[in-house]
Amino acid sequence: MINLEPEVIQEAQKGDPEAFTQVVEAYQRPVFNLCYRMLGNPEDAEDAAQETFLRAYDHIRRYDQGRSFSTWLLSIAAHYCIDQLRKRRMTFLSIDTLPNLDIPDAGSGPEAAYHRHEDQQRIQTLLSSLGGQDRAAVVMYYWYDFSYEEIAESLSLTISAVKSRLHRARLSLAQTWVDQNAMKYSAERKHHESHAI
Amino acid sequence: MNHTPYKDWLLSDDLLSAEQTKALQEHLRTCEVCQQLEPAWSDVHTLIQKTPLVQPIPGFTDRWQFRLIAHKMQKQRHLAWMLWGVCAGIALILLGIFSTQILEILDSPGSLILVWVSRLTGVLSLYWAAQNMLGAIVEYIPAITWFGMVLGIGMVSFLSVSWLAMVRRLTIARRLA
Repeated sequence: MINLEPEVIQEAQKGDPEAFTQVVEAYQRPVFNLCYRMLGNPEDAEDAAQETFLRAYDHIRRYDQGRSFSTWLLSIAAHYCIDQLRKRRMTFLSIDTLPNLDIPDAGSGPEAAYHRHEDQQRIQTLLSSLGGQDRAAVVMYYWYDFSYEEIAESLSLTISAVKSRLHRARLSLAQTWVDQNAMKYSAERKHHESHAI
Repeated sequence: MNHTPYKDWLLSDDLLSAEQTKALQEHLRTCEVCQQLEPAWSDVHTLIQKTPLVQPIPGFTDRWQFRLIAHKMQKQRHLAWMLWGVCAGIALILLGIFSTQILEILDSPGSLILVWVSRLTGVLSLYWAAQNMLGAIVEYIPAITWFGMVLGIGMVSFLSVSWLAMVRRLTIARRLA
């Protein structure tokens, strides 16, 4: 996670617009990624990320320096996205909008780009099978390496609730994966070594 | 078939003990559900790990700054509307209060003027009475009594302030200790 100088955040808390612009510059990617994973399309993710920064700007004086800034900021984003999901009660992915995304270039060539695009689609379809809080917990745990405590703090849950939500989410993701690849799994019923082993 | 601990073990990020591994392998030999679940979760985990963070299209900060300006303008407009609303509310209340008076004025302006004049003279006469009473008290009480009263009030004030200062000093000393 990004480590912005604490002085910059202090200046932003004092109302310095330049300092807050630095905050936006530094955190735009993690905030946008969380919103995108939560909402499933780039337009809504952009809107949610912008709204997150506006809310952070309005309430930055309430931020406690003793806490992690990224946890505080992503908590605002997660709560906003959960509210949006509740409002629309429609979490499926709009595949047509995906090409607008600026996915970091991990390799060159049209084939690599195609595979990256496919992976993004698969991930979004899988995530859309989860409820809002489970989705936020999975994104925070696997993309941001948040601890159980940080997730609990961000989503206003207990640590045991976070563990149970993550377990439920893994089970749901695996089952959705099996359903999506039913042909493969019916053909390949062979024994694999466990991930846990 | 009961999958209770095996599903937990399959989906856990923690490493399993030798005993748990052995039990899980035995279960996997006979359970088709867990046989599917294990590679499925492994595939999902791999997919998550190789999927990078996505980033917004360039110019996010500029777009945010425009939005901030719009947000501030909207807040100002909201505030202006609120102020306007409060003023309009006060005006309506005053209008409601005075509308009865206006009706009375229109009905009989002479009697209303008389009422207000009598109220004003009443207040003025009260003021003059109080002034006369105070003058009489000042004349009646001798100068030495006034001096004694001022001295007494001064002494009491000084003692109170000294007592407060002492209490404060003692408390701070204890806190430091």
